[in-house]
Amino acid sequence: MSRVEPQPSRLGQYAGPVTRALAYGADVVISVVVFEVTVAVSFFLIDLVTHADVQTDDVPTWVSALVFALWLFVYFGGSWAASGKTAGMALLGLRVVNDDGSPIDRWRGLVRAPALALSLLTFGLGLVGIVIGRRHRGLQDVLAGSVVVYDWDARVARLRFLAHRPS
Amino acid sequence: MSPRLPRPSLDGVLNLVDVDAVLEHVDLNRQLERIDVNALLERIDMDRLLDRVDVDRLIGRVDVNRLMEKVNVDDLVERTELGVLIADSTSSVAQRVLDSLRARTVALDDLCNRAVNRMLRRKPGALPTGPPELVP
Repeated sequence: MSRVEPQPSRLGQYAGPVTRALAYGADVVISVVVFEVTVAVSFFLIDLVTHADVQTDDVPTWVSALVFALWLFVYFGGSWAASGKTAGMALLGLRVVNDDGSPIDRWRGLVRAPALALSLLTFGLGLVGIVIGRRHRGLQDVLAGSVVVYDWDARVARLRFLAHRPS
Repeated sequence: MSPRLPRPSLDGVLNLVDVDAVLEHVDLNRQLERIDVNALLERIDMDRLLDRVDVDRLIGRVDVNRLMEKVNVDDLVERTELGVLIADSTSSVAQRVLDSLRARTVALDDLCNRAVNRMLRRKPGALPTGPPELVP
C-alpha cells in the first residue's frame, strides 16, 4: 500500500463521513469481539466453578439481546462520556466534543448512545446529516448537542512521512 | 650653551588643541577605506574575544519564537538528519501505517464533501470548518 502524505493539520475541524463510517465499522467489530470473548470466558468460569454445563443457547434470546444492548450502551456511551472517543474513533483520529468545541459533557456522551441507536433504527435516515450537513451532524449529534472533529496531529504525521520519504 | 627648554607635556599640548575641531576635518570614511579589514581580523584572537562574550545574555536577547517562524521545518527535515531522528524516536511501522490510513480517509472525506457541495451548489469557503473553540 503506497503511503499518502498527510496534509497540514485538520485538528479540530469537522470530521467527514468516510472517516466516521470507518470508525463506526471498527467500533462494531471491536465491541462484538469483546462481547463474544467476555461471554465465552464468563460461561467457561461458570462451568469451572459450578460444574454446570451452561450453553449460550440456554439463555433466552431477549435476555441476550438486552445484555448486548446494555453492553453497546456501556461501550459507546461510556467511552464518549469518559474520553469523548471510542476505540474505533481513537484508531481513526476522531473525537466527540460539545457543539462549541469544548470537551463533551458526560450526560451528552451518554445521551449520544441511545440517539445513535435511534439514528440507525430510522433506516439510517438519522445519519444522512453526516454526509450532507454543513457541520456533518447526524441525528445523535443534534439530540446530544455534539459534533465530531478530527483529533490527530497531521503535522507530526507529516514530519514522520517526510523523514521516511526515500530521497 | 643655550639653556635647555622644558619638554612640553602631552596633556599640556592636548589642552591647547581643540580635538573636536580636528576630528571635524578628518574624513573617517576615507580613512576606513584604507584599512585592510581582513588583515585586521587575522590578527584577532577569536577564542579570547569569545571568552569575553556573555553568551547567556546574548541568547536572552534573541526572540526565539520570531526566529522559529522564519524556519521552514519541512525543508529542514528533508535536508538534515533531523527527520530520521524524529522518525526513529516517535514512530513505529504501525504508527506510520495508521498515519497513512488516516490521511487516506481524510482525502476521501474531502472527495465526498466536494461532491456533495457541488450537488447542493454550496460554496466550500462559506461552510464552517470547525467549532468556534477549536477553529477560531
